[in-house]
Amino acid sequence: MSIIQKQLNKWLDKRIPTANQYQLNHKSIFIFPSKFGALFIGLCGLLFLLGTNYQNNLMLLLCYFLVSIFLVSLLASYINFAKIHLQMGKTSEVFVGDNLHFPMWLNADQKTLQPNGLINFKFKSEKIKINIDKSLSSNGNQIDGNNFTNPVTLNLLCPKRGKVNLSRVSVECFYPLGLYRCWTHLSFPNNIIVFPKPIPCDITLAEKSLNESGESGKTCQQSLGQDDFSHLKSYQLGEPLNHVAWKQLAKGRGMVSKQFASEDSQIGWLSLKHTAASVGLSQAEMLESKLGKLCYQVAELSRKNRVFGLDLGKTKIAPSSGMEHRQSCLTALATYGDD
Amino acid sequence: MIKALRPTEQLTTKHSVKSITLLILAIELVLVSLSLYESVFTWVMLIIGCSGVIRVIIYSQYYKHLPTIRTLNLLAVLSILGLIYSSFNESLLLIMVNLLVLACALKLMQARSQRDVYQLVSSLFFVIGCGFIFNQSIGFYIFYTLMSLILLISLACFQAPSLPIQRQCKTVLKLSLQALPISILLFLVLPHLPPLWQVPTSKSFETGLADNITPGDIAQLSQSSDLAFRATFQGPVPNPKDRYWRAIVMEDFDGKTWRTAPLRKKIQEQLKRQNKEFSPAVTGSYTEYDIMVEPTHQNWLFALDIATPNNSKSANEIWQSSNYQLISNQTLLSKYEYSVRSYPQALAHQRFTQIDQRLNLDVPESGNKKTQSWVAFQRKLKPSDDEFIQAVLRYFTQQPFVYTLRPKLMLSDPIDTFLFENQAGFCSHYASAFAYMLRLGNVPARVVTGYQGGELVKENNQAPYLSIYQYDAHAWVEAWTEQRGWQRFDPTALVAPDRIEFGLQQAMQDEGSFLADSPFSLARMSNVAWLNNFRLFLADLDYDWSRFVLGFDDTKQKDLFKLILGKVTPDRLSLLGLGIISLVALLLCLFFLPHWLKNRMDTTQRLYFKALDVFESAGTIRPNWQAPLSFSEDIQQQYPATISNPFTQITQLYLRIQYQDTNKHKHSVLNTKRTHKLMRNHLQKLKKEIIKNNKSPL
Amino acid sequence: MNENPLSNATNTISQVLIGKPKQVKLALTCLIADGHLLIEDLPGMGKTTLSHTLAMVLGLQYSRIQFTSDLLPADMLGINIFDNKEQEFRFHPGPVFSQLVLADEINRASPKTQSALLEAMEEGQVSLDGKTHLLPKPFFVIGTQNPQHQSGTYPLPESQLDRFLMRIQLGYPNKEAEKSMLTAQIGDNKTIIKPVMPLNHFIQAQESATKIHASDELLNYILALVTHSRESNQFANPLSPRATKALLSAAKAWAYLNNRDYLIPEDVQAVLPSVAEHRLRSASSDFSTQGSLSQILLEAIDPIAL
Repeated sequence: MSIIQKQLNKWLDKRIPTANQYQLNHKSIFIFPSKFGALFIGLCGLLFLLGTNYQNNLMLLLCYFLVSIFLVSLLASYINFAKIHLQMGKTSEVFVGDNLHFPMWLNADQKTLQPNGLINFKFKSEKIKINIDKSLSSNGNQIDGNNFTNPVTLNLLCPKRGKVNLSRVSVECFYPLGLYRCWTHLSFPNNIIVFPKPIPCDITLAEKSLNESGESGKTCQQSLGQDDFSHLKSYQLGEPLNHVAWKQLAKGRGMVSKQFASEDSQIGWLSLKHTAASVGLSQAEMLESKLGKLCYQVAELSRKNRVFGLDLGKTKIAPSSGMEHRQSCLTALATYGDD
Repeated sequence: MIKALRPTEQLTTKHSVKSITLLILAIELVLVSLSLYESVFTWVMLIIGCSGVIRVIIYSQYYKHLPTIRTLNLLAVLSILGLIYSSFNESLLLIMVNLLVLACALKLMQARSQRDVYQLVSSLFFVIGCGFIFNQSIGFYIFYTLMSLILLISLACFQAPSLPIQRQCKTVLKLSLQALPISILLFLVLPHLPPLWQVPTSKSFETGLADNITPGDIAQLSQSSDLAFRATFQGPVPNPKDRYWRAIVMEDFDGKTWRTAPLRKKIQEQLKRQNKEFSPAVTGSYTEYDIMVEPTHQNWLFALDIATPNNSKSANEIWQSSNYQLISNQTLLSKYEYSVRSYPQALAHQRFTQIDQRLNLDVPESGNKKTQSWVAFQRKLKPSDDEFIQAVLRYFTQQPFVYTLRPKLMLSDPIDTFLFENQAGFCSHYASAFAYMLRLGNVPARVVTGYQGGELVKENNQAPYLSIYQYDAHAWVEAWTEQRGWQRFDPTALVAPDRIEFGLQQAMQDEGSFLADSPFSLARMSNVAWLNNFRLFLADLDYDWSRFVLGFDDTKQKDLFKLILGKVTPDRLSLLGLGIISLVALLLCLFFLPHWLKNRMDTTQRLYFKALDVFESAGTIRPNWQAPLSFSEDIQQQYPATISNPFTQITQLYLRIQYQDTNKHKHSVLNTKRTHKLMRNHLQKLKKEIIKNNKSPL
Repeated sequence: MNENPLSNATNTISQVLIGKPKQVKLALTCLIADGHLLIEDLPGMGKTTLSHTLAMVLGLQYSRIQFTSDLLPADMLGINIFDNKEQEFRFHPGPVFSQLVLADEINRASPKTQSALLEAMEEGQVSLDGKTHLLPKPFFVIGTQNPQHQSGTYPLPESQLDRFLMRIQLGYPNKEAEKSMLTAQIGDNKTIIKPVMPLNHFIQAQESATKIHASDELLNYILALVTHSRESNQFANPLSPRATKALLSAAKAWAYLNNRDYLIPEDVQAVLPSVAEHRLRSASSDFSTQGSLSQILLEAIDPIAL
């Protein structure tokens, strides 16, 4: 079974190679009578028998008409399905336990004609895989080609961090009469990475990268929000008026201005070693929980536009800031342990 | 029939239970069942009506819940019991049809899943197919075709729920038009096989003549203006008084009812087993004609006296019986055409066997005493058979007999009552009385039923044909004498000569009983000129329909092949087969063509792109994001005015069509067509200039 | 279409703001399209001059708010003051109650003040203590801001940038223009400028601009541009439907200024950088590509093969 599956996948890879967007054509479209198509042909056979036995030309005509409809709708099905143009959209960040929303744009540019009818989207299930790994569940999405909003999204539950093993996307359609099933298995670039689930914790920044001796540097603790009110100070000329604590003035305590916790702009390191795991967990769970905490800290620090580095033992990322840095840190966390 | 639904079978939210597909299917089911009202039991009709109403209510969201599975199961069980009860004496075919529509109705009541819809559609197609067994006229054909199209539309609606219904109709119509030529080709070319096995049929569908007459029966036929059969003549058409279409010979009389003699039946069966077919001695002149019989669900065929099959196909399919009847080997379930040759003078020259003698002199001992004594008295006076016959006939002319379609009931001693009291009746009364009297007088005689007359239709370029309607049904008498052999006598002709010369309508003019039960029948209004023309046009249409569509069989197919191939040989046939297959393939390709063409651009775009191509070949490539006007400005800078001017013109025209308000210059002189023409002109100029430019600079 | 007086306006403004005809035209386009304008550039590039001249040319009632970090919403919108005589609160409208408001250095104010202004821009009214006060019509805000990486600023968030129909950058004038600027008599110019038309003519112009014909092909072009921004991986922030509408109305205004009664792709291309640039954000945080994002977008779509 698995050998056949593998051969099939190989053949599919050759026939429909991975691409960012597809205009369906004879190479990528598979077409075969549906179950109803078979029933329909059976009906034609029955009508033929009845028509012959009753020597009824009208019944025979009906039978031949239905057969012709069957033939002609092959073309119609193909033509309709070949109108489909799919382009992969941008995926948002996804963390363990989240649903990955995999967006696809169906005929987004107005150049091509819209396909009609109901179109089913789902991840191609590889049966063996589902049996072993029950957690990888996916559900399909049915859209109406004449009434839908772009993009079409497929949901995939992500139970594990790291690269998502994205299976092919199956698209199928039965338009116009349901006699044929047109389908295709499209393969989109597999570059989605599931980040560890962030676990809220205090931010622990080591002042500098730790050397092997494990000498702990000065770590600085900091409360969560930095725009929070911290203390009062006597007013100095030039300070913004809206910082003045008018209530205090009204109480006759003179001009005092509110001071807010300002950003700590010092550079620090996040390190795997110094992240405390929750107690009572197995080795593997400990690691996951540590990574989760780091993930949370990376996200928080990036939000505050802080400069920080990441030390995961083997991989170290030099201190920096910005979206790109955040991305690379999260990727490093996600792929930690699998080389 | 009904199972509990598994959750996976539930329709998705997009086809909710109020889907239009199911509504269409409900309407379809009701309409198709109505067209079969004669064969569907009334209570089944009621259930169908209920299911239709349920669907309408659900669609209009007046009520949102389908009947529960339990209710439906109960209903199903009850229906099955009802069906078993009502179909005790019915034919298998009828039961099948009823079962089918009943199943559809029950399914419709609970249809939710995709599978339900598909099953419903298939069953409905099958019901439509069955409809053709019962109704084969053009009208019904059109109706059923329409129903099939609606079924296809319902399927399309199911696949694309949010497409407006007009577009669905368009899609289905397009598909059907594409399928039409292919289906006609298949119909013409695929072999028309003989029946593979005997199919069930039923008594209740039998139409036309019955195999027994109790005087009174034929009057009922006279109330029907349905077509019985048509006869197309190669040569001259016989005179109205000679148009006696023989169908059934009845030789057994019990005092009330004439029927075919059981002995004859037995002998016939025996002969059939031994495959000893009777063939009459034929002499004299003959006429040749083809007959197309409407389905009667019986085996009798019709022909003028004395007929033999005219070609090998008819000879194979028709059994000739020893009393000169033609009997089809197949029950006539659909229109049937055969060709025969009739020898009008041959009747007198047939052999007269012992069996004939015995059967045709048999009279019941009891009853009709008056007649018996009257005949005995006459017979004494006229010892010669001929004279006796004349005397009996004279009785009909001398006594005040009346031809009427509304005779009084004659329950006991019907012949006595008819001859001496009422003296009013129609053909079967006269025939039965006359034959009985002859038998009493020891002259072998029998009653023959069939049709008499027919409406002649003569088109300029067609062979003339006679349409014989059910009201032409008639009964007459054959008697055998030593000197003349079998002879036909029609006492009705003596009483009502109009009936024979001009048909029933003329004969019944005074009484007003012609088709009295169907006041709006077109045949009844044949004195209104245009209505009569219309009726004849319909008849003509029906004639062609029967001949060319319903009567298309393997002989006609062979003729067609001969017409195409010249000679039917296996080689040529296989060539034809190949040709047909490639023709179908070609048609399919043709239907695919619009798909390819659609990918082409419209004229404006094409012309503009041609102009762009000209520059591209000259070395100026438009950056693919540059808009037309700015590109035209670039061209103006790069090229001399002779080149850039036509291009500027083209660009202006292009902008005009693509971007200006089309409504504004719809009525202006420069419409789209002219603009295209101008664009073409400028394009030509541009090409010329570019070529000149390419040559000159060096 | 008969000669429209607004082309005079372009010329008149260009006499004051020398060497930047395109920017002037874009600014006018923005006003015709009934949108708010954001001018972004370094100090001293003529942002204030442009807005002031615009107001004078169109004869709009003009006020200027200098945004500072301590500017409070009430300073701008107005305040309810208790009137002792009448024994009730009376509303004293702030500077925002004029037809053209120059919000100078908008990114210097605190987010609170910024959002108060932007709310007023969006709704055309000011709500204070449960009472709404309608802003005059037409109502334009010309915001100016320094480039974001200058210190001491609160950059406008994306959602608020979206409310400005257009963002233009003035840039340095070329040498010749700068020279003629030097030779011209400064101070004289301001006195020269007179309104080129009455206000109701301007409103009529706005109306006729909206009636400019946009063919199907052109709408497809706009949609193709917008969808590309949504599909492509290059843009982190795609264009919103509001941006699509903005693009169309700006293009219409541009066509109106060019005396055409129908849209051509050039109109869209001309306004796209100023309409789309501030709404797009690059997916890669590489700032060097930021400047040409709309150019990337433009070059991805072929306007005629639609």
